[in-house]
Amino acid sequence: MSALAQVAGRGARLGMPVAPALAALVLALWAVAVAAPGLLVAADPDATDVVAALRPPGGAHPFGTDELGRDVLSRVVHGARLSLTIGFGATALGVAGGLLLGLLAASGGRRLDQLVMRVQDVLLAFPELLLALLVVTVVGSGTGNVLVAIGVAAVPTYARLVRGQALTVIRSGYVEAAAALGVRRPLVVVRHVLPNVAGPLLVLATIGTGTTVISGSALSFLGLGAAPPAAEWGAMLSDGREFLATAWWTATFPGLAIVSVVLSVTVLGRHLQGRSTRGEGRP
Amino acid sequence: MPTRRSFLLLSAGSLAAVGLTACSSTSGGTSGSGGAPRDGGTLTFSTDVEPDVYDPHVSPADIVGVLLRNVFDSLVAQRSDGTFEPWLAKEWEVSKDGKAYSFRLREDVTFTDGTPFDAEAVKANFEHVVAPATKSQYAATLIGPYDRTEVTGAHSLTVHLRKPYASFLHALSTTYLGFHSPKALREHPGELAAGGRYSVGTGPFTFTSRVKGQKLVFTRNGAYAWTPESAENQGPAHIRQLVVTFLPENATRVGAVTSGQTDVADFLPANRIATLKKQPGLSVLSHDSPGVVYQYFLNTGRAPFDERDARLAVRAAVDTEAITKAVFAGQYRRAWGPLSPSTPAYAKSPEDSWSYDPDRAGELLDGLGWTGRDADGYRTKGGKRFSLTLLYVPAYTKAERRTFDTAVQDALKKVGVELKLNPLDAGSYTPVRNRGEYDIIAFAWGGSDPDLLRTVFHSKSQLADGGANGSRLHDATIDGWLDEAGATSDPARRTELYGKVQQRIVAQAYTVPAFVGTRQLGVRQRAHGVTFDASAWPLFQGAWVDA
Repeated sequence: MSALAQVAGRGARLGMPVAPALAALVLALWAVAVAAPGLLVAADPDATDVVAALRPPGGAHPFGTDELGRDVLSRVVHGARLSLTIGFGATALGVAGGLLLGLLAASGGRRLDQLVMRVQDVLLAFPELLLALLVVTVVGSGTGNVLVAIGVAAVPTYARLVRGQALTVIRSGYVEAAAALGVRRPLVVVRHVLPNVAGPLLVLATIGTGTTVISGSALSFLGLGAAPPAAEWGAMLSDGREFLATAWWTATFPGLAIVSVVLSVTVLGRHLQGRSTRGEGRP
Repeated sequence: MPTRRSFLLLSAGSLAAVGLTACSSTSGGTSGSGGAPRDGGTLTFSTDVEPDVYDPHVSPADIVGVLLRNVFDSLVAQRSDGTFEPWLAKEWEVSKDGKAYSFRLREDVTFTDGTPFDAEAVKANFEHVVAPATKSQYAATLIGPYDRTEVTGAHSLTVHLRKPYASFLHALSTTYLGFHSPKALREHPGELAAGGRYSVGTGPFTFTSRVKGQKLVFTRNGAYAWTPESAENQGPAHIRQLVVTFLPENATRVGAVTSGQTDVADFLPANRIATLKKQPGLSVLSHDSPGVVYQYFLNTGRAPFDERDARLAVRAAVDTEAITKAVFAGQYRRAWGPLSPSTPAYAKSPEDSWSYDPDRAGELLDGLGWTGRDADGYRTKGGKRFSLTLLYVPAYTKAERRTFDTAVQDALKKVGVELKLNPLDAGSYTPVRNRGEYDIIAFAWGGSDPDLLRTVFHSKSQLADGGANGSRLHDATIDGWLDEAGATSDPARRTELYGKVQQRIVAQAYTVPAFVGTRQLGVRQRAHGVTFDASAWPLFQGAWVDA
């Protein structure tokens, strides 16, 4: 991680964003894994071969095999679909919910604002993962429910950002001017407020995606996500931890997969953030 | 001079003996009999899950039975061969009709609060077990058709049953029908579940303290002089203190025993056994758990498993031997029938009576008309896929069982049968299961009484009735044998009848037997004399530690 940070730092000094480019490349690779895992690996991720259980990396199995003789590389690649769907899907849900509530609070009058934001404050008092656990307890386990749970838990953070940004815009001169010209409020929100909120929201969402990928894996680790035999990074990590002393590869590779995504998304997010703050500084 | 039988000693199983020899080669002494027992010191035992209720009359948890054995004694003790010997009862007699059990109690027994142990104490405890207010989750079932206790003298009593119950002695031998001090029952009935100083028995230890989430402390009962005859240590416990800690994570528990933070670690994970056996200063004790082995119960109450050929096909499709070997790193044995080999009345005849034969499975499925194939390669009949559902609760399913289930799923896929593993939370699982809306459920049930077969296979033990008939079996032949076995007190006849039941279950393929559970303890070199009881539960009364 520190090596990558150094690269990033050097890149920034040279004005050459090496790290973000690298991060984008990693994410592109994972995108392929999500869309067409068959292009990257040939082995069936669920096919067991108990005779070849816990083989170390090498030969036909570059990442080794797990306790049922399944190919770990294949499971990591195929696992991207579930893990990243949960991560990115939950972020999208969180952003959508946050946008809706934030805009409602900012433009719906004082009382509605108070109501919406006090509820968000209460929810913000809980750590995101705890809130997600609460939702899963209520709606039940499973991949879809985990996605919803994490998404819902992420809503307050986005709602608060959106409201803050929106209020600044709504109180600006040009919105007042638009209102004076008789432009209706919903149109004002869509035409003026939304574009101004979008930038910071995108930055926060990119960074947030890293968190949701981890949250999704954490819930799967706890056995609340994907059902066996589905390949999912958190579940693989959970199964593999029993073998850390005897077969390190079963937990290490899914763990590295999570790290690579979170790191890439964060590096890219910081890069976007840097650009957007510089952008704000311009006249 | 009592005959000291050593069957309960560490070498109870041959596997344990192997563990000991491995250890003795690395050090001067052995873990089992390193010289003369030494009095004093503290032994630390680490197990996985902390119980929430410490009243053995209430809790159904195995761990409560294990831990409170140190505090509560029983009327009789079960030997490893399944027979019974005197403990707090000196002798007993069963009436001709099997409905009355008369006991003569030892007269020298006192509870650790000074209350003498007598017939009234037994009566008070049995009444506490069956009282609705106790809300017993297990003991009340175990005590069976209990009717009343008649006190016939200060130290003699007769228990009357409503009908014959051949497993009564076994029930009495468990911790769950142990004895609280009548004073404790009277003075703080509401706190018995809390454990600690409220748990007062006649056992080799007193329950000194309980720090929730951390540890339990048991202190030696110096006055203890009423062990069963077969116990190696006939006097009070050697160790001054037994400390129990709870370490749910396997890796942490293993780490604790390898680093010396604990003396005895419970439930060693199978994949670590081979390396732990080579570790200097550590030995591994193994004991097969008696009872109903982990197996797949095929729902005979609906298609497709109402047909024997479908059951045979599924059983032939699973390579139990290879899967057991892989999942448990070669440490566990595969199962052949419904019971574990260490269970009394275990029948050997099902061994090698069936085999892994995927071709045969295919033929049987063809014969049943599942000849079509769909796009995913699964068999079809009349356009319908051969698809099965296995219900399970992730929270109650250990990782290695889930791994086993996944292997079975893939084995069935190879013969064109789809097995869906359907996770449900504990709340929604029970009603769905009780309605029989599944093809397969899987579980194991520990216990050293072959009458467990009644709980699991008798037509009157359906899940909805509080039984565990996972195959939803209604087999009049099996019912007949089980009823006769339950009513007869002739041990040879019981063994014969239970043997027939096991044979028929295997011949009809009502279940797919999986593996024989094994309790593996990691024991540091300084700890000695830890033994297993008939249920493969560790006992500490005879344990001692080096200084």
